[in-house]
Amino acid sequence: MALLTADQRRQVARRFAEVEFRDNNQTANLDVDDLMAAAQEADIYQDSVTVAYNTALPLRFRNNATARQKNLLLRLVMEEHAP
Amino acid sequence: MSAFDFNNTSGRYVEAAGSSSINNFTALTFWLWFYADAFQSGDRWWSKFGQELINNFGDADDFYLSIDRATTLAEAASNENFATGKWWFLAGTYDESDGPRLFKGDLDTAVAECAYTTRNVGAGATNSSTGVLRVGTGYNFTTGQPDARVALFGLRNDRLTLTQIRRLQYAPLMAESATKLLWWLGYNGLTNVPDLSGNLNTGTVAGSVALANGVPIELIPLFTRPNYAAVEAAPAGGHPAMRRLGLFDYMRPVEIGRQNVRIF
Repeated sequence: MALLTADQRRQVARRFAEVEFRDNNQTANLDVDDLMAAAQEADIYQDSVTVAYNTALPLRFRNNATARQKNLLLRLVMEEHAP
Repeated sequence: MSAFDFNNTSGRYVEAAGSSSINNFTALTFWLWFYADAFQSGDRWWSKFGQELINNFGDADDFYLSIDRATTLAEAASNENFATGKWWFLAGTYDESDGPRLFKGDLDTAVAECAYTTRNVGAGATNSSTGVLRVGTGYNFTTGQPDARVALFGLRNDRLTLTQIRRLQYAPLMAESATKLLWWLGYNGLTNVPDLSGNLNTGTVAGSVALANGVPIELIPLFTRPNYAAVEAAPAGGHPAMRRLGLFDYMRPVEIGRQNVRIF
């Protein structure tokens, strides 16, 4: 399910475009419509991942940890996974 | 005062090579007079590596000034209607503590700060910006362009206050020491646009030159004879906008160089 508002998706697209344009040495191969469509799909994917992550957690942690604590745990694991 | 007409013509833009005078600004003010026939998604009104003004979504209320910073992007998205078919004065400022701001005015309205949908100061050092500067490109930086006319474009390496920006709005074209680039884009139709700031940031026109007189802007350009008749025919006390700003006396035409002037 998509959670972001249209304005939030626009903001994601704007920021992505700026970073991509600079890092790609002032060239852009994706247009704004591409970015908006991708932001919507990424939003849906992120929601599904969050739901799946919550379901995967052990019951005591799932029921007693706050959302912030769950995010912290996931971020720490992702950092360890990163090369 | 004539203007350069980008006119939605592919590959038409104005470029300055990166130079020591316009690279790596950690504070800046830009300003331009423009007249849009339409807004299109992805128009880059001016763009320099990591520092730019873009209309991402083609809306009259979507000017987005972004400055690349080491930790978090500085960004300001306007929430003001810059209607098509009218001359607008648009300015923006940035420094590392104040972040980005946008300002809007027109021929009869003194410039004021825009409302925003987003404004983030950003964090970290301002990243370097050594690339070329282009005014009026499309999203991919080469093709596409605003469907608009731009009369002048200025860039300084300091952050002006609102009061100082108001002076710029109706002032003759002039360059103070912090002005690093000042183009009167409708100057003469040459393929090279002289830099009136004296910093030699000459603009090179890509694609065909196109001037449009459009609706006249009542500014008095540097090095050209003022339109005395128009100024003197204005209502008593001068043009309303000039009068409101107390500029009429300052802009009262004075004949210089014709007679009775001695240079020592």
